[in-house]
Amino acid sequence: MPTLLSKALQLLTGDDTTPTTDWLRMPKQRAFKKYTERDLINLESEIGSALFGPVPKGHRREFFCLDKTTWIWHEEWLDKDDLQTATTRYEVQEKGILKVQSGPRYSYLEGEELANFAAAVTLYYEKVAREVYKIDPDSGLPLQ
Amino acid sequence: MRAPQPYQMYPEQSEAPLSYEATPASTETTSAPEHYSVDTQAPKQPDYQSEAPQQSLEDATPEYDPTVVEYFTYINEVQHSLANIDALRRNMIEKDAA
Repeated sequence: MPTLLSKALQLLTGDDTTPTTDWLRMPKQRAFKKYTERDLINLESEIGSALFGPVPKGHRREFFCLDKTTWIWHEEWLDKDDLQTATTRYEVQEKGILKVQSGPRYSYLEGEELANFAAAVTLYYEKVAREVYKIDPDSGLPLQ
Repeated sequence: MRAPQPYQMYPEQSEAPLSYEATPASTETTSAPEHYSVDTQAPKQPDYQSEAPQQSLEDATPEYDPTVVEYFTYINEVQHSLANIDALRRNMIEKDAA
């Protein structure tokens, strides 16, 4: 059943498809507590996993910055009751971004893949700055 | 008997016409144009040599390659974002710890 806000959005945008307000929700209700680095990474990863659109049903996706030089993309899904996993690690180096996949397979990002990765990382930073840390990503000042 | 031999040599030396004939007949002078033609090919060599410094100059000055510039722009962008994310995380942890 559509909510009042959904109806209002439908009227405003003129979109006949079922409107969703999921994008307005915070990734998780933050309790007033001390955060460990793992907690913050989990909060960030919830935002990161949604950067590429909705996660398919039965999939679990994590996309997060592990540290200053490492990025992780992890995906899990069930294939005929078998759990499949794929983890890609991106190592940010001075000469390029090394993609490390199971196998192991190594390759430096280039072309469209590099452009897409850079765009995803920039978007990730802008969203986590606003939604997790309440910081304006452009000025670095706290959001009011 | 030996004296006539040098005497007889004079006439041989006085056969200047022979030597004159030999001179115009000699191909050394007539072949001079050929020799010059070889020399006239010399300018090609300076042309070839003048290309060498251009090559080394090109090697010394890197060409502007937009794909390389774009490549490192993306790398810098990613590095910048990662450093910012790490700083936000550290600040939050330190603020909570304080």
